Amino acid sequence: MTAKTDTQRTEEPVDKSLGGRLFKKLSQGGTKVIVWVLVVIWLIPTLGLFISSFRPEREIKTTGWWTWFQDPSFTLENYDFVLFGTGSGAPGMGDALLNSLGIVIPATIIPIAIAAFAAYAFAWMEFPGRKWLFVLLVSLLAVPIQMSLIPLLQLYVGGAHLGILGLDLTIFPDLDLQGTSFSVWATHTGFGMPLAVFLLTNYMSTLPRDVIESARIDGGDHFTIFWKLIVPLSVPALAAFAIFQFLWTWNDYLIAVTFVGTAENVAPVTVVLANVTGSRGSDWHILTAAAFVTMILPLTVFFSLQRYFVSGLLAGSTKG
Amino acid sequence: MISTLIGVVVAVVGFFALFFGLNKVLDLARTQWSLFTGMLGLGFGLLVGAFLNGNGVGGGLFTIIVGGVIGAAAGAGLGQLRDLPHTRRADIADKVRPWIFIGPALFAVSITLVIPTIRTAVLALKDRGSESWVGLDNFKWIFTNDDIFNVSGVSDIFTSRLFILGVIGILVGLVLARVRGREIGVRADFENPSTLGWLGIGLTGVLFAMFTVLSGVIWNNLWWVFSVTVFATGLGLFVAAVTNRMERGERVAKAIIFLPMAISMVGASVIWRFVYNFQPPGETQIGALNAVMDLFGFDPVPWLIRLPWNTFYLIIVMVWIQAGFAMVILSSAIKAVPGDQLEAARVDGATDRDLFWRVTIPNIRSTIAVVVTTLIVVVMKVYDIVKVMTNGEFDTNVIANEMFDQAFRFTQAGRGAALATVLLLFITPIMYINIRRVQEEAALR
Repeated sequence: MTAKTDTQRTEEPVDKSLGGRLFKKLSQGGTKVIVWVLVVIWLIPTLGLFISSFRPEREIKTTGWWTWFQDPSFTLENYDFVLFGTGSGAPGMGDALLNSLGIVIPATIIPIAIAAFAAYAFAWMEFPGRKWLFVLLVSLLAVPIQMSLIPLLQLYVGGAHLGILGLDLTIFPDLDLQGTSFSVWATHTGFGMPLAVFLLTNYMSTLPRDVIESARIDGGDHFTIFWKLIVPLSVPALAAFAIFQFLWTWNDYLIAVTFVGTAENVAPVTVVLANVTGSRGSDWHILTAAAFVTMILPLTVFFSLQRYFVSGLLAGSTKG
Repeated sequence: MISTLIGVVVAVVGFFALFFGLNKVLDLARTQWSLFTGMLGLGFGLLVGAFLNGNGVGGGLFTIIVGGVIGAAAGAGLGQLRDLPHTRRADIADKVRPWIFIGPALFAVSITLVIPTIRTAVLALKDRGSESWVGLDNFKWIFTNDDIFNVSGVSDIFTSRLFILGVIGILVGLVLARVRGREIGVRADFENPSTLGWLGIGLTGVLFAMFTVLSGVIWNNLWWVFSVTVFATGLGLFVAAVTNRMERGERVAKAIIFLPMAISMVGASVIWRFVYNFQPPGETQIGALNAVMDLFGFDPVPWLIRLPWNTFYLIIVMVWIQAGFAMVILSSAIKAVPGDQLEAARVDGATDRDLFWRVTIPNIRSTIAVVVTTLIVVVMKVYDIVKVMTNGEFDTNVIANEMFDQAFRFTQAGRGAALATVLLLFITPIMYINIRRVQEEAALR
């Protein structure tokens, strides 16, 4: 091994012969072939699901989806049943889609608003404890959600009480929030906050200092500068986080199943899909269509706004 | 749906109105001092009223409003009695304003993250109903429960074939490092692909020998973390390095590798359950993997229930999801490697391979660290995939799933909290690294 690489190295500058160049081409070609094989392997599972979701029940259960290429068949029955079907065993994905939207829309808009204010303060205002508060917020990024589930569920179910001097004081009333979509998006709002503040602060602190300072000299107060200057300039970062938070809340299962369980009128698509997998695990005509229904919206968002998503991903990890 | 939407609109509008209003109230400090103190009194009075209403006094809205009125009057009166010079008032406004801006964010993370985390750590020391203190009993239960932490098979590790192969790999790697090092005049050279390759394969072999022999939730978790981190980062690095140099198809290849990132883990689990589908021998296989086995004349394998490798088949799903993440981050880091460094090395006669291992890799080392730490944090708390694919049965359980079951199915709040705390403890070193990095970044700004 060593000897081989060594001769290669010494020969390299001289080796302009056809054989040498051919060897180089081939070894480069080899890695490319491996990448394309990987790409195909990465695509096959999703492709199989997608094709199967349009095949009739009997065919899915008796033949592999790849036979579809020789013997194509097409039906929308699976989707019809999954989305609008009624009666026992119908997953009710149509309602679940609306439930998901009812969670995802507030869970995306509200954290952006809250985090943008905070990010502006961290980037452009002076106050004691600015640095360590920021570090504290960012360090919360790594805290596992599991640490919050039990106390939060207790809060939503029974409110918060504090026992001092033998008195049981109610700090937060029992509003019976378990099983409401509020409990889910409120939780997402808090959990999304560290990343949002981190991304937006990093972005806002790169905005040109003289622009903001001249606005201050012209008599603009912080509130005006924030609305008229910072928010329009920060649209790329706001969009990046919005896509992030949208995908994360739409695809979340753990928080939803903890706080709404299987309550039919609020359960989002991921919870319904997981339930169907548990109860009808071998009914592939239902499972494939149901799974694809959960994926349509995130995939659309993802492909149409991929640039923003990637830039957010990069800002979130490489910059800090 | 309609009521949810109305609720959302009310929440958003209310939040902005509150924020705007607080800023306006603060402006009053400069111009109309006693009105400002009156508003402060109003807010404080409303809070006291609400607190009294919830703690025995009752009276509902009436109590709250009375509290507000009394507070407002008291505040305005105090403001009249004690006026401050204009500069001091402006100073107060400037000092308070940042807290209005970060207040909502601090409130949100306090309620959902900070206070619950502390409370969970406390609950971990209490019994199942959170009534009496039990010391470290819950942790003792974790590490003496055979389903969670089991070291009974530890001696079998040394006789397993994987272990022996792994040790050979490590030895070859060490010898190579020494030989290569002597050639370039250092004690040992660990920066060339063949040394690293052998060491990596050897280490993986030894660790896999350990993970396949030892059973229990915690070992499974460590298997997950190690495998996903190594394979997703490795595959992502490979694909990034190769596609970055492709003239055609770079975007398509990257988009397809990246696609699983958009799919929920529940969705991914359904997709892979279909891939792993098993029908008894002799029947038509509808799962892709068993169809391939069939094609080559092997018996179909019930992938998800065959011990001990079924855990690894679940891990593959996570690698499938996370490789795209690693690829995107590493790809942009590779593109940012300074061109003059590459050019200088090329002039010195370095091959493409040397360039990659001796220029690119050292340059992107910190980015690799970011990818690895991020993956460790994500994978440590893996839940959805295990829940949907096997529900933790057939020895595939992980900490997060056990935590959920203990806390919410078996109503063992103490044990659930202890398991969550174990997760946090595993992640603490990563948190420390992240904090250091953010502090360094902040110092550079």
